[in-house]
Amino acid sequence: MTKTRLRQELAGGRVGHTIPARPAPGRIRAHAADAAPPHAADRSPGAKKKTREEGPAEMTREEILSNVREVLVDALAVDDEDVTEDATLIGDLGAESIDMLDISFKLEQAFDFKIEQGELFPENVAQDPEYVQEGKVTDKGLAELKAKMPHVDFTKLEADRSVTKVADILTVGTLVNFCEQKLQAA
Amino acid sequence: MRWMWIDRVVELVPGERMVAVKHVSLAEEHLHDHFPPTAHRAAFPVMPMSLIVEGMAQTGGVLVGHATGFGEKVILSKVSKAELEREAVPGDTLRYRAQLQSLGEPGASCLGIVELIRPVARGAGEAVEIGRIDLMFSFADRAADLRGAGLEMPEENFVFSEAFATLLRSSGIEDGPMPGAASGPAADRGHTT
Amino acid sequence: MRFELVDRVLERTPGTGGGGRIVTIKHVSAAEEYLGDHFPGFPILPGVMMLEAMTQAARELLDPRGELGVPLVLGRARALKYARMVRPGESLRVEVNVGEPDANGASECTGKGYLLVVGGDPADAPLACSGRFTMRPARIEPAQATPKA
Repeated sequence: MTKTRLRQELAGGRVGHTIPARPAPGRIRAHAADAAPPHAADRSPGAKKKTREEGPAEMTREEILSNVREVLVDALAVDDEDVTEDATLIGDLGAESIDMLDISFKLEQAFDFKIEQGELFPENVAQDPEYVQEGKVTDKGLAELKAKMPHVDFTKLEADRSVTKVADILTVGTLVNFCEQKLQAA
Repeated sequence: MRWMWIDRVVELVPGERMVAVKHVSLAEEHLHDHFPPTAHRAAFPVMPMSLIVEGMAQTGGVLVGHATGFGEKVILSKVSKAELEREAVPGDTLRYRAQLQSLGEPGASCLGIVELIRPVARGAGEAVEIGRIDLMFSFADRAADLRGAGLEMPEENFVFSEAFATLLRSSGIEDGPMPGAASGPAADRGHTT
Repeated sequence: MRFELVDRVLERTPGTGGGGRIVTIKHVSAAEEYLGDHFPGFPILPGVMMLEAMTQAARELLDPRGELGVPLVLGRARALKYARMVRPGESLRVEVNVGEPDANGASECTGKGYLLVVGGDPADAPLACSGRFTMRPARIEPAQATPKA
């Protein structure tokens, strides 16, 4: 190994610590003193929005909806006016499974809370034989879903148990309910 | 054409950010197709934006991989947003700055900035920001829909191959991937998630 | 190894004003060298190559003979999602709706890629990728340094 340090002409002003080609043995230690590049930090969605620091009880449903709308416009590349409380995430707004994770991450940032896996969206419903039999959600499945997902309105699923209906019941309103409940519980 | 779109890691703050560089060189085949001369204009070699996205994906992917002990098959699942304001041409150097934004069980997200460094006759070329690329990664072993599609994947972590191990080692990072090691929930990795 | 991701144009429907719709095929062949790295032991079409296939399809509609003074390049991509892996022996059927170029020569496009298996019916082909992107004229800053002779 010849040259050890990156040449200064590439480092520029904002890179901070460069890594020698042969560091001391052991892991590269975190450079805790370095601030993140300003652009990246500023560009977190919702960073400038009203956050919980102003008091969770002070966020009205309208304000929560506004933040949720910004998250969905960002994640799904839809227009503001498409994001109504009744709009379904999958049917109306075109969300797919990877978008669910994106939405979850962005809600965490916008509201400064942590979402556990499976807390926001029903996961792996179709794969579990106790929840779904022959393409229909069972009573046990429905009871489990209601218990785990208090923010979701399951009325439509009660009437029509087709597992495909699960997609229809996830609406923008569902997300607003979730955030409301989560903020109140804090 | 090899599939390595970063040349060297120049900074790694584990679990936070990574900076990598990529030189744009006439030795690379794709530049001769992008674009060749036509009846109406001369050859116009420019770095394709799709491969700039891949450079950022490899930067972010290694950052996420390193943060998870290279125990996950980190694959690009979504380009949330990518914008490029200017082209990079042969002789330029691209610099990718990826910041880890979110890390969860099924995947992760990164924000990224693309900079262009043009060589000058004397002194150092200045880095100019020319783009922003925000990405999402899935951990393929944990993606239920991929398993559901009946797709059989090898157990070992093919994502972090010998090529990446070499890249990290020659960039001075000692705790790189170990090609051939298994990945995913079944693998005994002994690191904390 | 060539950087060509349109193997055949299946449909070309120009719209008024220069946009329109185009359908192309990109075959994935084990002969493509980069598959050796992506990934060793598990070759799949890289996601950005699906994006490049859509970009090249849009360019094929907008400037098929390379007549523009400056080539059209990808300038922006949004909500580009990957749903399926495409393997050697399979193909990507690319469908792009290309908007009319604006005053700056930029076109807004929406693209979809479908996973085709050999002998498969396009009607059943699952979505492999989808997203929105913008084509625009390439932007090169004039060089400060002396150009190569």
